[in-house]
Amino acid sequence: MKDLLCLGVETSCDETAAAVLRQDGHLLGSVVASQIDLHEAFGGVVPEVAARRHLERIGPVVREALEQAGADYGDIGLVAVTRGPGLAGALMVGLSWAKAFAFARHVPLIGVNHVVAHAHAAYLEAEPSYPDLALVASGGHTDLLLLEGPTKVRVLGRSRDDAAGESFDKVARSLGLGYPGGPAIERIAGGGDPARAPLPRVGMFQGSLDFSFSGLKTAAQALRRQGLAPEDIAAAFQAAVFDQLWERAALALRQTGCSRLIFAGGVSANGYLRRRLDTALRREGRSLLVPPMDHTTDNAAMIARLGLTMYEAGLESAWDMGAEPVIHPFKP
Amino acid sequence: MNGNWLCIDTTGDILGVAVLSADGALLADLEQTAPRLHSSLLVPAIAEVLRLAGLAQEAIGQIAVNRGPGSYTGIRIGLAAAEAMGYALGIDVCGVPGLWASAASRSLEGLYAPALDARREDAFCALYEVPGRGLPLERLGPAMRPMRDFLDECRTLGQPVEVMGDAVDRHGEILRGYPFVRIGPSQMGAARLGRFAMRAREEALDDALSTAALYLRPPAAAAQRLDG
Ligand SMILES: [Zn+2]
Repeated sequence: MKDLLCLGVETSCDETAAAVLRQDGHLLGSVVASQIDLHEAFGGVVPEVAARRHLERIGPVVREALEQAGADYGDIGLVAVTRGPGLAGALMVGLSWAKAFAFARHVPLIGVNHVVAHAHAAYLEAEPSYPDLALVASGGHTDLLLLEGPTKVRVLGRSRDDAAGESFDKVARSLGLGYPGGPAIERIAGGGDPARAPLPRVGMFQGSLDFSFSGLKTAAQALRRQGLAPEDIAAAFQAAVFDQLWERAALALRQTGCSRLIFAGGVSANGYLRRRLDTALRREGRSLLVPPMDHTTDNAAMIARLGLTMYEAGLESAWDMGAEPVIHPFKP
Repeated sequence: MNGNWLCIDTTGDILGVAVLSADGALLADLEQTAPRLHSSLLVPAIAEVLRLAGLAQEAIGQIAVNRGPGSYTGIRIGLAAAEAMGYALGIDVCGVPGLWASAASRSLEGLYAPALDARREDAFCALYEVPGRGLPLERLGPAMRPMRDFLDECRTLGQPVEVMGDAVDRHGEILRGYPFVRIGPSQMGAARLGRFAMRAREEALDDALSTAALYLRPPAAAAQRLDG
């Protein structure tokens, strides 16, 4: 009886994505149309450009996801869509599409939080074990979340300035590397020596698990101006990011008693950070849980995953649900 | 082609939704002044207008949607919803050029200038000639331009021009300086979109009914001038 098909729709930033997830947990289709090439010329995501492209791609992307799933629009029994956080104009394209589709098909609609969905991407291949601690790090967000239940989330800490992924991009740019910065930095850091590029450590804010990455970025840029080798700076930068992530995560694990850490979002695709977190967690008798590699960055499978979970917990969204560009993760 | 028409206009401050029968009779319509709330209110408005018409979703045979110009976000909300409903119901979607459809809603022969406020002293506008029969003919193509430049150009034609659309309210001050201008209605209603689509079909003007958004501005310029 677990054969309900959930259509997930995601348009919060610069990826147009759709996915089909069956209630038994099988991911039948997942399509992500990236706009990276489009925004490169502008040196960053231009909201109006993103929103226009979402409108052009949303229909074809949904059709492709259904085709992958071997399903027909009439087979969809639930629609999950990102309602925020994200770019307002971009969010409204996916939201309007998803609401109208669900209404026309007489099927329920669920609006989900994009950041919480990143954490739930880990549940595409593993069972939840609440409470779960999740560190979501990407170009847009750095949040330490306590997933207390299918619909209950507590924010333990968040970045006070740049997101972790954003600092990777900015450091990569100052080192003359391409966009996106994460993979570029990881590539050259392998040949570098962190000891040759001293970067400051960001101490904990009193009584808070918040992060800060802008100082690190500025220091890395200063080292570059002093003529230090890019590979040494990249290696030192990655090590400093790890130290900061782990210091907060380790404390949160002790405070909450969680036995594992979910590491999700685009930054979790970084192999160096994954390895070091894995080692550090094992040393404490805990474990690391990461989403499938192709579902670390923005995608709709994670939206469908969280949407199904919320639906099974008895939630449903009203037809007048609006976009919420700045909602916080604790609001499901 | 048969079935009822669902007509959607989300390009302006007023959210308009209407249902027409296959022969063009108005079955129900709804207008809400809801600037910036279209994404929340569109589906509830469609549900309400279907309820008023006593129809289920499946009784919709075709969709007509205003594809611009107007608020960029509004254009996208309407087109995204129309395309999704068209897909979900397996029916056709007609994207209607809004200014042309406005001119086509007037029956008296003459010159008509649908114009929408584009902030400051600019407008999205065009000039059409409504002939004795058939759809209006384009005299000045749709574009975003300074309202005064547009009116100066209209003046050279030496004929009265009826200006219609929300620029009537927003640019009233400017319009008063042009004696050849007659003031037309500021709101047209969503039903005109379905009626325009029917006529464009009759005249086999299928290109006019594509579902490409009519922003009339490239995105970089648009991002600077309007956030929609
Ligand atoms: Zn994201």
